[in-house]
Amino acid sequence: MMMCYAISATKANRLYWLGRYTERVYISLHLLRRYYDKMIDGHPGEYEEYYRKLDTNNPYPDEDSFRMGYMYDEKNPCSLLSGLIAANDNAIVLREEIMSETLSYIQLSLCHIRESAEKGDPNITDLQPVTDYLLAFWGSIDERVFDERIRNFLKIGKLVENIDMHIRFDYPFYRIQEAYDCLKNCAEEEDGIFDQMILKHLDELLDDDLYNDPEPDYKAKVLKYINHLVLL
Amino acid sequence: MDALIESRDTVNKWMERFGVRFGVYKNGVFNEQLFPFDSIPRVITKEDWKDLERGLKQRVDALNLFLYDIYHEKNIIKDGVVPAEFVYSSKGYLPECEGITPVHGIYSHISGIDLVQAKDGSWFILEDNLRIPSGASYPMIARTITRKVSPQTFQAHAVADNRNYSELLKEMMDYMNDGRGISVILTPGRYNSAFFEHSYLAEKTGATLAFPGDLIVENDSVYYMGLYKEKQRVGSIYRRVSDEYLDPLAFEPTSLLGVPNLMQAYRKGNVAIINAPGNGVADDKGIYYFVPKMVEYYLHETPILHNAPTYLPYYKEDYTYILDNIAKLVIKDVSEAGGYGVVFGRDLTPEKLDELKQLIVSEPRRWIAQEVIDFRDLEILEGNERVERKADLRAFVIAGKETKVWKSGLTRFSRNPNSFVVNSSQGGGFKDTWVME
Amino acid sequence: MKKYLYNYQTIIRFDSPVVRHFFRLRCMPCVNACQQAGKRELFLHPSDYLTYGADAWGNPIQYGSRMEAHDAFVFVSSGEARLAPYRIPAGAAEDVFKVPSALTMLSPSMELFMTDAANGCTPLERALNLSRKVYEYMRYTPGSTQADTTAMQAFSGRQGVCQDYAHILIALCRAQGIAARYVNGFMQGVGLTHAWVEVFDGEAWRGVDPTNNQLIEYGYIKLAHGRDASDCPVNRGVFTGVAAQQVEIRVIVEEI
Repeated sequence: MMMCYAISATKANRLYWLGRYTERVYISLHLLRRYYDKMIDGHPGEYEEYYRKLDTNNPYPDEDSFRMGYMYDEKNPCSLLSGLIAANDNAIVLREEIMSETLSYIQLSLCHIRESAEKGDPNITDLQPVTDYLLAFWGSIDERVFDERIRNFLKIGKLVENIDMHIRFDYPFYRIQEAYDCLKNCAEEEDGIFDQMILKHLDELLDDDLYNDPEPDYKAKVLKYINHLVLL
Repeated sequence: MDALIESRDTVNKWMERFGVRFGVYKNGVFNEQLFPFDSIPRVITKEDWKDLERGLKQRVDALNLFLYDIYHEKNIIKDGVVPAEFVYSSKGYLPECEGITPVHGIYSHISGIDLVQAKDGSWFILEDNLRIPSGASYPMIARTITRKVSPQTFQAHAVADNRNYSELLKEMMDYMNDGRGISVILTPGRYNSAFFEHSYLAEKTGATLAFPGDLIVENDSVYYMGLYKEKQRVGSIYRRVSDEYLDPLAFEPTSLLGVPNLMQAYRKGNVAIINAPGNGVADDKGIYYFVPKMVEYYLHETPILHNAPTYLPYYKEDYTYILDNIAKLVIKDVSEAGGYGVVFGRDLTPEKLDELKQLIVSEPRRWIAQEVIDFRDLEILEGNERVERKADLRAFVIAGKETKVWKSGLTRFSRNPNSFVVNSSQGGGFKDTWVME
Repeated sequence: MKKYLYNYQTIIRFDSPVVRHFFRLRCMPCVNACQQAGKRELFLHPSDYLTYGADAWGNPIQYGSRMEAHDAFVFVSSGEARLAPYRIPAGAAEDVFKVPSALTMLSPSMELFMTDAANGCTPLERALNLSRKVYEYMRYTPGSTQADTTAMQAFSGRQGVCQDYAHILIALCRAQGIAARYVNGFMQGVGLTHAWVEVFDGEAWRGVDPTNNQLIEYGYIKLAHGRDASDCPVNRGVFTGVAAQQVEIRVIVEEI
């Protein structure tokens, strides 16, 4: 059977978003654990910072509904469940590229979180398997997907999301820089994947000094650019 | 074997993990359901299989010759074996295919032949599916899992391995492709009920899964469109899009699932379409009656497999028999597909029977009547209890360089003890099919 | 032989640009025993490629695509046709034209309508009788029907255009056991494309025009035939985009 080297535009787009959503869920889980930890010491309203950073209006009146909402609320696009559903929607149409074994980690994550949601389990530690599955997912990609371009599209999505989330949650600049360099490496072989104008802006804006001593609209601008960088 | 049977829940868990699902629309809402697996396999003995295999090959060979004949010389009509009107008024007959000789002259590359076994052990053909028969992926993945979950069972029993379905498919696709380009599986998309199968077969054969819009025709060749105007020639299309949606410029003009001008590339012989368009004329409920005659006509052989005894009101003799015996027959509307338009005479009140008779009198061409076959029921696990249910078998025949019968099949059963309908969308499940070696 | 010049043009305007436009046309005269083409030309714009071929009925077709955005699509088919009296020898399968097709089903009222019109001993005479009946029964009303109007619908509304007249006549002929097929093409004069019927008289296909109630001898240039109109549209296209279309068609045929 002749090899197909062409990747359709829709497939590239799905790979990119599969990368983004899995990374989003992975990082969100990590951050939510941190915020839930903070709330143990009883700072009510601590959670408000979380959704402020995500740019959403607070849909939840109190700590408990916040906790459950960010885990299981299908109507909240920032919830873990929504992220996994979106990841699965992309993964399911990529089976032949990523292989059933890789897809199964997304399926397992989704099944697990749906079960927890049904039980109304408020303990985020019980979602540890989702973190494990997501790591296994990326491991499986490394293990089974040998097409460099397929890997790159996935990784480009992952890194864009990584940068986006880390900027939102004020991670140190070197973390952003690392991911950004890596992102550019992944795109080296794909002419035309980046909007060159936006790339130029980002190159200028992603600067240690500007990042640490930002102008008022700095963060919003960088986020906007990073989200419009990839042309897929 | 007990270990395997007890492992039903484990197997189903594994299937969930692999996303083995099928889509259903209920009240316009799309839902993905698991296809419940029953762990008691259907076992077909080596001797039984020998006959089945020979019979299935023979049947599919005859059907392929029939299709070639219908879209070329039409000798079977000229010789009065099949009446012209049965062919030309069949919904599946596509005049657009007239004069087209598909690559290697093969029309039905993948045939799903539905059979039932009667109480006395004899097999009957229920229907032929020569368009886009689905279901092979389920026993394939079920076996992959059961072999892992219960290896000792397969050590103890000599069961023909059925995981080679993708090999059979790949071999046939390569043969049809003839090195012209890549092979693709064309799916209508994620919301098709058999999407799992499309993507799983793409994974297992190495074919590219193509979605509507990925393929275009230029100068009578088909191309898979990549990013940045990159394109790659396509040599064979295993399409899971039905005939009427295949080419909006030749068939249904509103179709968004098709490839415009595909029929022209096909006519020029620049691409193989698996299965060929126009096959519906051979798996029509009305044409079914003539399949044993096709075997005699084209192969000069005696049919090995039998149809359920069928009567056509079109013929005077049958007409009288049907009207006299309607209460014990099953009546089928040839224009309806699947399980629709099927009526058992014994379920009808005398008034309803009279109404049905009137319908047959006014439109004899529209109906066929069959004797009711006394199915051999199969055991399934209901909870932890063994109960008997109706089941059928879909055997898969792959026609490429040679005609090969896959040593397995999809056994579907109905959950409902009184139902004869084994359709997966109506809550049934499936079993693995073991062919013994 | 009589000689004719023809010129057929269609201009399609989209009110917003469309992309991925694929088309399949039957706008060039076919060649058969009673119709020869002198010079046939096709101007078409815009297109990425244009292929000439034939469909399953043997009709010439012209097809291709335009992937980039465009807001107009034009084609002009012109040339010279030489016509002999309208008689086309039998081809391979005529049986398919004896069976009702989707647009030519017979209704009970059409069956009734037909009973006293079945006089005449030859198939052609019977077809001409039926054609006259249809002509008298129907009222020619542009815009009263659509491209997918069936013979039954047009018959019960008692009005339609040439396509509907042809469909009704085809349905009636087939019910009489006469093989009949749908034809589209150009008629002498200035106007639009026209549709008529060919019936098989036992030896050859003869042209009958129910809209004008006549047996055709000369003056009709044939483009294509099929079981009914849906088999052989002059112009069929699909494109991506949300656009309303405005179509302008002009046909001129002159004897020289």
